[in-house]
Amino acid sequence: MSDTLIEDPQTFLGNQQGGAEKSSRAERVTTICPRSGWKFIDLGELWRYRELLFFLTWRDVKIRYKQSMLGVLWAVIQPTMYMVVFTIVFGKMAKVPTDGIPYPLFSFSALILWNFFAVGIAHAGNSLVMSPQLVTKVYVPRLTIPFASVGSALFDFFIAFGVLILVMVFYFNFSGADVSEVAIRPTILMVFPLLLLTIFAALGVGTMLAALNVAFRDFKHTIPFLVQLWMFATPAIYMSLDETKPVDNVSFAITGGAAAEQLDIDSDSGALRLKKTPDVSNTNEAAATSTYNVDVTATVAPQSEVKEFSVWVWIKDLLRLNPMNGIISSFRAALLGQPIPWHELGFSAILVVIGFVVGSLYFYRLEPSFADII
Amino acid sequence: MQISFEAVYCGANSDSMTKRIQVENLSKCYRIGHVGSSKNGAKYRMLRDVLIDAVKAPIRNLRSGAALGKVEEFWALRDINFEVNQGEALAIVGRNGAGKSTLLKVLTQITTPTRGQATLHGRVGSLLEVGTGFHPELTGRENVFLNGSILGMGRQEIKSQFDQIVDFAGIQRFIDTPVKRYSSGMKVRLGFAVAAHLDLEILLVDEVLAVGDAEFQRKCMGKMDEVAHSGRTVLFVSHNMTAVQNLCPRAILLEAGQLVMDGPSGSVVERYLASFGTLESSRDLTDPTVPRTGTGEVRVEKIELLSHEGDVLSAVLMGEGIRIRIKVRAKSDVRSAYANFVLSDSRGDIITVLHGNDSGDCRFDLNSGEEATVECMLPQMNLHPGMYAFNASLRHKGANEPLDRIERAVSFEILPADVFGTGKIPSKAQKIFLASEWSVATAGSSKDPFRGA
Repeated sequence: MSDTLIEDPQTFLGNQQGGAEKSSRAERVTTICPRSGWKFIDLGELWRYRELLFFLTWRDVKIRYKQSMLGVLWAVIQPTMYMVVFTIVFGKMAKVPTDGIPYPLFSFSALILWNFFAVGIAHAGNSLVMSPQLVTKVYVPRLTIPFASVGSALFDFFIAFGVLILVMVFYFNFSGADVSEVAIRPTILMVFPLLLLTIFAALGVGTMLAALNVAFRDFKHTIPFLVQLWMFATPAIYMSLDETKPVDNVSFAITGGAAAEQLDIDSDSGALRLKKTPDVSNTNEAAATSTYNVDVTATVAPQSEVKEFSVWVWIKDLLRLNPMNGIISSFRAALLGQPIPWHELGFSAILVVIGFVVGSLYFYRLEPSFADII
Repeated sequence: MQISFEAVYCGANSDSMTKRIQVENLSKCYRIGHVGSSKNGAKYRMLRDVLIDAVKAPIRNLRSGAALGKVEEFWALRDINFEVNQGEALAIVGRNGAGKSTLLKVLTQITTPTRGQATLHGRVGSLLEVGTGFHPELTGRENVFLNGSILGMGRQEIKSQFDQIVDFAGIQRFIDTPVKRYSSGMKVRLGFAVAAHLDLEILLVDEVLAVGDAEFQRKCMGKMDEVAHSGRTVLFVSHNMTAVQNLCPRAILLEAGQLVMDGPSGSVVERYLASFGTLESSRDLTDPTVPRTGTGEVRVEKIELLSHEGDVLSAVLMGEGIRIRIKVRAKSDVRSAYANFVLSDSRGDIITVLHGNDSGDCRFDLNSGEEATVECMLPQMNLHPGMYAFNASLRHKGANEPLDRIERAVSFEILPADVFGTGKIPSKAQKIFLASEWSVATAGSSKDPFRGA
């Protein structure tokens, strides 16, 4: 045995129970034995294969843009087209409230992150069944395969992010649109941890889908459907439910005053109106009654009372379980200098961590059977 | 003689050698569920089936631990034990379905064993398929890096070996061309070239050398030989018995998932080949377990070896004549079909091919359902003693793919005989003998052929 063999730390695979390190020598020992049940991921092995992860990512990117006339431009065109379409449909036609942010900025800033997540999970979900030789003809840690899919989606994200910066520069300097609600603040640095969080969210969901896709061959039909539904459950093209300023249910009524008989009140807006238009030519009347005194009472109805039985509340609570909820609205807020919804973000972060652990552990649990059923 | 050889071999297996691979009671069981009606349908579990099943029989599922349909167990490997030393080249031989590939897949971690354990000391590389992960859109250069990293090489390692890899494959001119424009031979050459430059302590190789043209195969064998003699530990699966015997001094034989023999490759190969024909000279080939290829439009249903006179026989004396008789049945209409028999020896080397349409017109037409008997007479078997076998194949004019082809359809033994009537059996180290007539002229003779008549 030559000394050059000694290069890697001793690693164990499988459920080597009590399989203590036989020697501290650095020769690699692979123990193959039955594996079943829930096991923690072999991070050391994953680290050894980091170059493979890089090459698989690079392959995915390269293949995606090879032989296409517009090449990498596709990564730009897709979110841009989304932005244009959504601006027309939701910004102009449906007039979705944006808190004074120009709708293209409002949607694009969130869409690029959403797009990364959506493309990442869709590709990762199909990654294993799309390259069966990597599963049946050679051993590589299978987690690298969906991870690489997310990696290639990340590449698209960076290109789209470049476009977003251009769009923002355009809006701030040349567009003439009202950007008073938008500003660059130090919180913009939050985009990096938010991106990291999204990566973990995509890895968790992507690995889970990839494993399910192998175990149940008809699962692939549900992936596009799931991504579509998820998009509508995420505040990418509309405002986060909790960001929307609450509309108080205030009702107005005239409750007294000298001129109470002469005036009407709109109970919703509180606008006062004379019941009878005064005769301006009659100077006496005009002089006497140019001032009207009334008492107006505004009654604020408690919100909970109004919405308690509404399905809407129930849906809103359900949507809070969407980890992308807090991430997407925080990402937009960080980019456009608005207050970051820390509570939602914290909740989302917890969900992402849970999702990542569950997704990759589930993947790791099914992994031994992949080669037999794919 | 064989016993003493075993003894030598056992001595080599002493504890003083470093063990690279230790396999203990390794077993692998596949569960074949019978969900759905089709055989293939059983392979994939559909979410639909699970849901329907759950709705249909929730109680039964709960009781039986959610067992879906009828589950059959199939032991692809059963209690395999062996050890391989540092620098040893071990061949794994066995018929199709004996578990060779499963064993290799377990040792490469592609699939997990059901029971038992294997320990591998050192970095493991595997070559179950040439060019795994090759993508047609990427160039040769890009695929070398991709394939290399899939096989476990680092980027620096690939970079430093890149020129040698391209050289070995012999495709310098096309290295920046997308692989989809390569011929299949070029793809295989490039794939093997990458794998051949893996610098690992243990190499597991499946039947990958049976590809490429003859010249490249020689190159591959040369490289494999170099690897096997460079101190690396090699596990080699092949159906090519010549390759097995040339590369590996030791072999194990698998039969139906069990290790039935472990010893010098010469005797293992002999036993492996003997397991084929059984010495029955008549073999029924309708059995679905008979491994065969071809379109199946016409099938060989039975093959018989008969003596020159038409009697059944199993052993043939040197120089005797035989008849090969096959019964074929057509599944669809065929025109101008003919039979081929390939004669090979115990090492798997082809000795000769008997073409049904070479000597005389022996083509036949069959309508669906009809059967025919084809007979080929060999007046004299000029073969030396040993085990031989015939492949049987049916072809028809103009088509590349055979209608039916059965490897080692029938095997037989040639027994020594005093063919020349000298009272001695001719020397063994030959394959064939030819009837020959001699004449000798000495100085005084007018018959000297070199001097002219």
